[in-house]
Amino acid sequence: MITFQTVANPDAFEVPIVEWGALSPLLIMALAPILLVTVSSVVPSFKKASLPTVYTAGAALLSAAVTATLWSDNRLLMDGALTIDRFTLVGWLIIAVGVAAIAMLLDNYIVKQGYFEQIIEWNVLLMISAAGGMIVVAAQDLIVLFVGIEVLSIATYVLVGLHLRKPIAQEAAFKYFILGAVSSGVFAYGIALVYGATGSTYLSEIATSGRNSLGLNPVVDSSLMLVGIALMLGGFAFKVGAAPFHSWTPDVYQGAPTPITAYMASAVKVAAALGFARVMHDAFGEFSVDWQPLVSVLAVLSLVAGSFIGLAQKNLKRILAYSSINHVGFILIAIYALDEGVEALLFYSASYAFTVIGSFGILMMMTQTEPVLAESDDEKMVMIGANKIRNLESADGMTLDDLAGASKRHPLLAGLFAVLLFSQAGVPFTVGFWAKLQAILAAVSVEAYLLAGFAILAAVVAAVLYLRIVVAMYLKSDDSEPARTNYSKLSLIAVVACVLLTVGLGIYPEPLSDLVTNAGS
Amino acid sequence: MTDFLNDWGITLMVFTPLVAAFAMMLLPGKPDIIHKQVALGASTLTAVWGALLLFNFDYDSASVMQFGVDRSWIDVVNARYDVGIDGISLPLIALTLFVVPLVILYSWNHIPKPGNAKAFLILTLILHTGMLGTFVARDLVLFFVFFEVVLLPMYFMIGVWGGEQRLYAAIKFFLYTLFGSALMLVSFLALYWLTGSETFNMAQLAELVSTSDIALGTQVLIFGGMFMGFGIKVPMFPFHTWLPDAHTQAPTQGSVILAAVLLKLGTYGFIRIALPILPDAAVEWAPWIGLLAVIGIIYGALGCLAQTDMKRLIAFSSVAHMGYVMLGISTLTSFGISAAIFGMVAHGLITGMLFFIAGSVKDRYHTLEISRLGGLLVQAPRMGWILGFTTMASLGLPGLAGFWGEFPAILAAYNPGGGLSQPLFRVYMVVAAIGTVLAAAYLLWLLQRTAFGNPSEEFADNPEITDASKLEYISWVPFLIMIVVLGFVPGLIFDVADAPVSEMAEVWVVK
Repeated sequence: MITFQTVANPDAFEVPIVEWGALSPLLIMALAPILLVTVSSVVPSFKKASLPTVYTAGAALLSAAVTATLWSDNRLLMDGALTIDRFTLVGWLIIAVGVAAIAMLLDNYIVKQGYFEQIIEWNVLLMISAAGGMIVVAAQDLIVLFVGIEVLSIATYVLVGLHLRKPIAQEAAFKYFILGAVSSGVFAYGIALVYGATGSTYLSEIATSGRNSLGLNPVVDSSLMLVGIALMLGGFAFKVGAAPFHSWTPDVYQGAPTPITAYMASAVKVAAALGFARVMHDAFGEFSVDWQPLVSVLAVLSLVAGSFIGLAQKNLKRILAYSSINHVGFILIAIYALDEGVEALLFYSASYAFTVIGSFGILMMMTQTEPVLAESDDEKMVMIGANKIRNLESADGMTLDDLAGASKRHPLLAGLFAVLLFSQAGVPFTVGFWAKLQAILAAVSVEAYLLAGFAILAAVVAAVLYLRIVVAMYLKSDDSEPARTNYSKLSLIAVVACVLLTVGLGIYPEPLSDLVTNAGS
Repeated sequence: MTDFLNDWGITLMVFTPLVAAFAMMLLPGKPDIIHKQVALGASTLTAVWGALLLFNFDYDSASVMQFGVDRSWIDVVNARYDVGIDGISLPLIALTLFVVPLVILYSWNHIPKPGNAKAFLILTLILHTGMLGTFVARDLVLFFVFFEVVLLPMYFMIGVWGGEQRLYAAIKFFLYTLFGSALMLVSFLALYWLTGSETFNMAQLAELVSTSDIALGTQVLIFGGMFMGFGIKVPMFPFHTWLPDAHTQAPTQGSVILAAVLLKLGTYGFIRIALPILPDAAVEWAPWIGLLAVIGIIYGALGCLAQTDMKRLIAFSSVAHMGYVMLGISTLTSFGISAAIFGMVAHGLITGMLFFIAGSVKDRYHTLEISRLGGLLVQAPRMGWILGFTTMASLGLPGLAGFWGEFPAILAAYNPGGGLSQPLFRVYMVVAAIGTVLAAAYLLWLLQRTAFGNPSEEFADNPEITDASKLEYISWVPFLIMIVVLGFVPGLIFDVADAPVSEMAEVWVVK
């Protein structure tokens, strides 16, 4: 293991062995965008129709497939900077598959919104960001973790603001960037304090230099450590969007291009949550008495804020944003439960990721109507090809009222949406039920009865949140005719896959729960 | 054959409707007739599987779980696919198998507005699977899953095909039940952890509770969670307020299924889960359950007298009748609990039938306002006499099924088990008996105002008002036959339920 003393003596410096095989999922995700940029600038015809989408989805799925081949691996890589174990691999799988689905959702969106010229940029940034997420999940060292978080976040800031014509997207990107930068600063400060207290940035070394073996002055070092933990906790809470660090979520989720919202709500959030859990468990396990109360407060606030404030919303993207805050509450409960909760954490993250991707995807597809040719020159026009098109509708402003009669306008999409919403509400025979049940079981198994009770009551309140959407689609009938929608087949495939997983794993969750067993280390 | 039934009988019965529902999803929406045929065929096939099970059931050992299947299902939470039938669940399974095909048959030309037979029948079949599954489950998680599964189809049935206030009624129904079942789930999980059980098997949990040293106070709390879950479903006073709304707004078929089977999930839960697993807590709760039951009886009856809408009146009568069932359960005697099981079946048949009539009246008169109706016996004599017959059954006329649900329950309260206070339960007994008088009052009042007299001017020459059609007749007559048969041969149910109930009630026999 490298220590700083050895660096001081260049002769003794050993180049760490690079385990190319085990790193390959990460490398694929990191190198594929570079290749895409290169190829598309040399071969302009590559920027054709769905080709970049197929490329991105293909690269992501390849990364996922390679991840699957590593299944029984469990070792440290890069001289202890990264680790692959079941926990990492599940996280990688979620991110990689998520990216594939997001790319498929982006496919038509970019074209429809008049950004075909930039299609390469969207895909490249998406993959780079995902590579950052994969580093976060695997990091065993706080500096590496920080690099991962920054790669993940910075690419996402740009993605949020990439819809140049939409002021709301610009505002969201700015807000996300400023707050995100502050939280990164707080997080880095936390790392510095922890390093000051323990003299290491490796999670395993921090763990062994815990409370009993701190330095000469346990009082000072211990308080340094505690402040460091608290700051890092705050940074993570911001990244996962836990209340009370959630205030950016609704604005950013609403303003961001809908597929990017889906990406933030799924892969970004899961990466941050898994990194969160890894640091808290592996490095600060000995201090769990100190941070567990904080996590439980975050969990309760997220559950309450997500469900109750969500009820007051009209805008659909904001409703789903609050719902994702509510989900974070469950994820935090799993983190709270330490080893008992690892399986629940992974199960919840995985099932949550594809449910939420599908939900935002459907929201996007519902608003992708046929483009309307502009009749006069006004500022809302977009040039698509040789046509002047009126500014296209997007899901950003869609409210519950707009959904009235959606079951008639979009029978298929409404049906799929309903399934995903029921899953988020935790209705049996959908995967969401098992996810919630496991999180609650984890809480009960560590005798956090109050937390479990809160979770259950919040789930009931949140059920209203989802039910309102279903009610708007199905029960507020109007005389709508089936609408002509214009979404791409690829988006539909992604969404249908999400729904099939939701129902399939709801009836027989064994495959997913097999996947996440023995992930606790 | 027996081997096959032992391994697959229950599974086939429970999932045939679900498979058919999936098949129907793949078929095009039009023409309707295909969906009606598939749905009827599936529910008949389900009934055939059920009938095979009933014939092969060993009635001499009805207290033993039969046709049991126990397979691993979800290992992470130790939930198992663990099903079986005994003398307690058998009558209710039979009731479900009996009611659903007739409801589908009735739907043949009664698909409520706004149409879409495909979706309507798919929901009915999913409901079918959910109800059967709840009655066969021996694993608490499995039970919970099926218990919840019935929520959504019923929610949509009310919300899409319901009356004017359908949105309000559907959401009220959904939230009430979801809230109750959330608390119930907490109780299940608490049981699982406190006993340190390896599975969620009901019998095993019961055994572990009896040998473990869980404090009585804790048991009482756990029972409380179950009480909320089951009590809301029954529904018991004061959690009954969702019921009149749901019943009034639901389409006819929804009301029938709701009254005939869905409410029984709650009372069944008490008998199957709450009482056997937590017998000591049951003793603590019984006086309160008994109290709420008799309040429900009186309150429901008075509520009936205040109603102006026929369907709402029948709904309130459900509250009263389920009060008798709960009173039977609260006595903690084998007699009372058997009466409760009988009462569940009887109420299912009778109230289901009443809702059928109400639905058909609504189809013809387009109103259920009692003051505007009248002269049904003149305009539609067959419907008139069926209404008369059913109200007689409902008020507990000896010789019809309703009698055996109420009378033994009242009688059982004379001498409750488990060391419960005799004077208290005798007071309950008297109050419940008064309730039967009130029942006679509101039912006869209903009958008089709707069936007797001359048709009101408004409807006198309305050509829409015709007598029961052949189809309605076919789907109703089996109900009437069963009401008479059970009235004369109550042993059909009492004999089956007796053994398991006596075994269960043994703990409360005062020595």
